[in-house]
Amino acid sequence: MGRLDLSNIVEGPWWRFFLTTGEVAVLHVDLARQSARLPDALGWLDEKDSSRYHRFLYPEPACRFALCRSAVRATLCGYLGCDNRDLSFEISRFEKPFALVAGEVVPVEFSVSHSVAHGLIALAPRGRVGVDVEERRLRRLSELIEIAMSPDERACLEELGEAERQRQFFRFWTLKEAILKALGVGLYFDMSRVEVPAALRNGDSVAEFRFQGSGNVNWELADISTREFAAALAHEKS
Amino acid sequence: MPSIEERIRTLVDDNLQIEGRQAGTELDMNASLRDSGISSMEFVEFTKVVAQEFNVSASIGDCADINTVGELVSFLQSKGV
Repeated sequence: MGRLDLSNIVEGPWWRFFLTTGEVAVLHVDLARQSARLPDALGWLDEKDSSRYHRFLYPEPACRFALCRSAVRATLCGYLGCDNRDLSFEISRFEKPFALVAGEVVPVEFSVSHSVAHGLIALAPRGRVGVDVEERRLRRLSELIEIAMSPDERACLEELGEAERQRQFFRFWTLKEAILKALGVGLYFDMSRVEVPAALRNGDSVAEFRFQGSGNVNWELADISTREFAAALAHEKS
Repeated sequence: MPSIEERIRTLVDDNLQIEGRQAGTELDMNASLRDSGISSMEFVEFTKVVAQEFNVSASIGDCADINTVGELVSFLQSKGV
């Protein structure tokens, strides 16, 4: 597995390195103070991105899209050494984005997630990657736990007090959604059937695991949460 | 008796915090819910709330197939609502 060359990835006014693992770089996108940054962000978007921007029904989510997409564009242009005008995006059957330069698919894996004031971009030269971030806002936990968690996960969460149950719920959710995003299936796959590995359920922050029936493919799954948000990173190792 | 669309609009007003949307305003039946900026977690949560309101079952797989209010109405009608 080759190591990630970070030297060409440039931080920008609203995106900064968040962590690197040697094989994956994760950048944090600051989505606060949106309006002041919007003109610069819009300058990065191509016609297709702009069309997507204008399809949003309300300005705030449109602005978050523009800030994240522009940060992705700047990051990929630096990493790939390409001109922004040559960079475009398509989506897979299940809506996972991939990048093209001058119409050719490029060998880079990336994943983007945003929640309220925080965005994350994960970038890897190889191996599928998925990232998810969620600000911890009050939710109808019992309904979400019922629909999204496996029986073992539900049992684990039911043992906890209210505050810890909410914290762990967001942790489990982001870990599961990071896997689904890496697989490129999103909600098209029943989230309750993707189980957080026991080591992570029991408090570890990183674990390697294999899916049942997926052969010799190893995955690394990491809890990358902070005090401000829950977040997780999934990466296909081999 | 309110229509399905009216009940869904009330559920949106009461349960979804969509930045920029004023409660009580019309819902475009063909507009993508995801274009409202709601997250996958909010979407799953909302689908569950709608399912409870209309007393039908809903899985995460159902959520993946629903993208507009119109599709949500069709989903409920397919469940006999």
